[in-house]
Amino acid sequence: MNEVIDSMPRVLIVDDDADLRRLVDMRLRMSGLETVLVADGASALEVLTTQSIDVVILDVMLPEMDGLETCRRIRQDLGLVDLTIILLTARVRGADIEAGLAAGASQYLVKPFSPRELLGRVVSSLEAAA
Amino acid sequence: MTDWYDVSNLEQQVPARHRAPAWFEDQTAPDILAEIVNVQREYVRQGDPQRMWDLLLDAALRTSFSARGFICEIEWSDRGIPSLVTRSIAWGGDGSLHPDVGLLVSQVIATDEPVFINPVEDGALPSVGIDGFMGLPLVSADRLVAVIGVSSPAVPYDRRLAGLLQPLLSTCASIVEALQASASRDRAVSELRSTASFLDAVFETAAMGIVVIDEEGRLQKANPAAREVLGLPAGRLAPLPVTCLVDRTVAARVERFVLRAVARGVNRPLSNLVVPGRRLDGAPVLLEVSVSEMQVGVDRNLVIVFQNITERVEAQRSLAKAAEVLDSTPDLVAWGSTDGSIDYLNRAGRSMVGPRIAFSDLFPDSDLARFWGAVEQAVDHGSWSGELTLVGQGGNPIPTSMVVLHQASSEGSSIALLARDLTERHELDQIKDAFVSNVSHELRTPLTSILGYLELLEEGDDLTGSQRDLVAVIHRNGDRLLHLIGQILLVASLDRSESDRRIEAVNFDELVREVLATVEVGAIQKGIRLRWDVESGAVLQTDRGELLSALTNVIGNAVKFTPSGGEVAVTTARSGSDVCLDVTDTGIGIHPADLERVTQRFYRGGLARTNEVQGTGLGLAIVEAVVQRSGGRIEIESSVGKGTTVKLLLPLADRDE
Repeated sequence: MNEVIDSMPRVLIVDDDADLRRLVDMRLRMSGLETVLVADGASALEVLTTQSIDVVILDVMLPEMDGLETCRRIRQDLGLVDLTIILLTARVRGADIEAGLAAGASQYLVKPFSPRELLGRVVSSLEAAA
Repeated sequence: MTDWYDVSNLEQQVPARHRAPAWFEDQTAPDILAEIVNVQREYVRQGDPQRMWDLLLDAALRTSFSARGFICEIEWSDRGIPSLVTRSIAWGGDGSLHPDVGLLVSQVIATDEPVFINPVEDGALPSVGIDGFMGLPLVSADRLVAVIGVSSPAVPYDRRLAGLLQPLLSTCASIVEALQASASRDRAVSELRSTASFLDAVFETAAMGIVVIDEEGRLQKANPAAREVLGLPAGRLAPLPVTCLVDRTVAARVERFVLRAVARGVNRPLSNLVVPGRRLDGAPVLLEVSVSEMQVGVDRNLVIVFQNITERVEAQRSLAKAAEVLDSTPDLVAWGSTDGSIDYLNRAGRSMVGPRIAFSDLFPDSDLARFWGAVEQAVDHGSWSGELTLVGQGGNPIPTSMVVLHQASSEGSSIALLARDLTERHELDQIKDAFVSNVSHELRTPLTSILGYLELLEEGDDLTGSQRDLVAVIHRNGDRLLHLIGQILLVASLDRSESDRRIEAVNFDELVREVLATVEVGAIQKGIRLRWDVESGAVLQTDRGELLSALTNVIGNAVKFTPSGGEVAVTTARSGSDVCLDVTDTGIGIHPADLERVTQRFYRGGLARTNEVQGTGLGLAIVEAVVQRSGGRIEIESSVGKGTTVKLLLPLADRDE
């Protein structure tokens, strides 16, 4: 994990729930990761055009532009095809998962998730990319 | 020409050898009188007309010295045509008369005069068939009643024979006349008798009640049917006023009507009047009445024919009520024959699907085969129930819950259809599902925060020992809440359509091991031995998430309901085209009375409740729903206090290949 810390990976957290945003933020920063927090899809796209981001944690249930649409735009409009995008959702039906994967999500995490499990996913995707 | 009537000439006309012997002159009136007395005495004594005929023929033969003879009685038809009936015959041979004899008899009948033929003197005899003939008419009261014919005389026939025999012939004719008259009277009497007894029989056996009312409005006669309906005693009737036999409310009107009718007569018979009647014991009875009059001599009677229609009216009323009920039910009710024609469709049915006359018009093409399959099932098993879609009036599909009933009777094979419109229920179900799903989702987000922050808290070093214990309690109950939400969400999702499932190849053993790994810690903590043999190598085509929750419930239940020191054994094995998961525990067991119901949603067996085992009552409901969706089945065997075995049988992915 040392090489990850050296290069200071940056994780973008997109969630409209402030408490949840802070929970993820705390967990990742405790492990030495750098985070950027936004509450909606439009802000997420804006961050991604201006900053270098290694992993996106994206809530599906977002106001206005939902997580799936945001995910699609990241892949298509911004062309960030290799970026790791972890979708968070409370929906667990097979059809929902397929919709998420079709929108271009790399991984899918069902709420409620353990912060420890989320960290594990982020770290393993960073290691895979490195 | 010979003068046939001149008896004095006779001897000159007849050759010597044929000359009438002395006997002819000797034949005197007393001899014939003796014959007459004989005939009458025999007839009176024997009462047998045949005896008379025989004696008469015998006398005729003897008197005329004839070898052959016969007597025919003549019966006249209404139109004056005679028909001959042979009464006595002494002809010899085969008894058949020569055609010429017929001609001679006809001559007697036509002229009412005697006919004499003596071939020896009369060369005009047309044929050789007979040797002499004498035909004599028997006339009574100007009516020819019989003809007597004799032939083959020893001596030629003497015309005086007719005169000689006349008294005997007249006597016999009178007897025949009397016989004929008495026969026709007997016929008339017996006809009358049979008519009367026929009428009596009709009166006695008629299913309709018949009563005769006299001119004072009293009951004069009543047949058995009438007595039965009105509760009248058998035997002689007391002169009962007819008003006693009708309801009080109409008694005055009936009395007026009867008195007017017997006084002036009934212009035309009245029929089909409905009259509220009253039995002698006061019980009400509804009568359908016809009235006609009968005149016997100067008396005028009323004949009242009636029928008890109480039950019929009652039946009609209950039928009308049944039809009313059928029409007021919101469900479709139809019946008809198994060949597909509809005989009845209730109001709800008509407004649902419109007026239809064939069952096949009720269903969309896509559901037609299923419908006929259902009919077949009903024919085989008496009934079928399930869900079928109807075509609405406007062509719109109507989902229904349907029952098809079959009944075979002497009138043929019929089916009844009961269908409840599920449109509204389906809409409500969707709203309910959406609600449950939304609520569950909304609950998950705050739970993520609760459980997540608890995890951070537990990972940190800031907590004291007792604080750590309290946080663990919060964490455990948060987990329980999460589990409950998961179950509810899963049940809601199981009601949804197939398209929401994500079918993929699933390694069954791997999935079972995954579940074993999650429950193992709990089992060890509880002091339960968990054994497994999971080597079936089975691959299923199914929704992994669904199956995971089913397996978690089955294995989790076994651990949950097994007390400390017990054992839970899990095995997987192929069984034909299925894979079988066998979960056997040494737990508290399921009471036989609960066994049927444990797969119902929210049902918890009595033992589960009394043993304070926590649960939602959803576990086995989920398992059964998942297994059925996968085309499999669940089998549960249990013995209270000893343990339970749950078997899940699921079809292998390659079963059809």
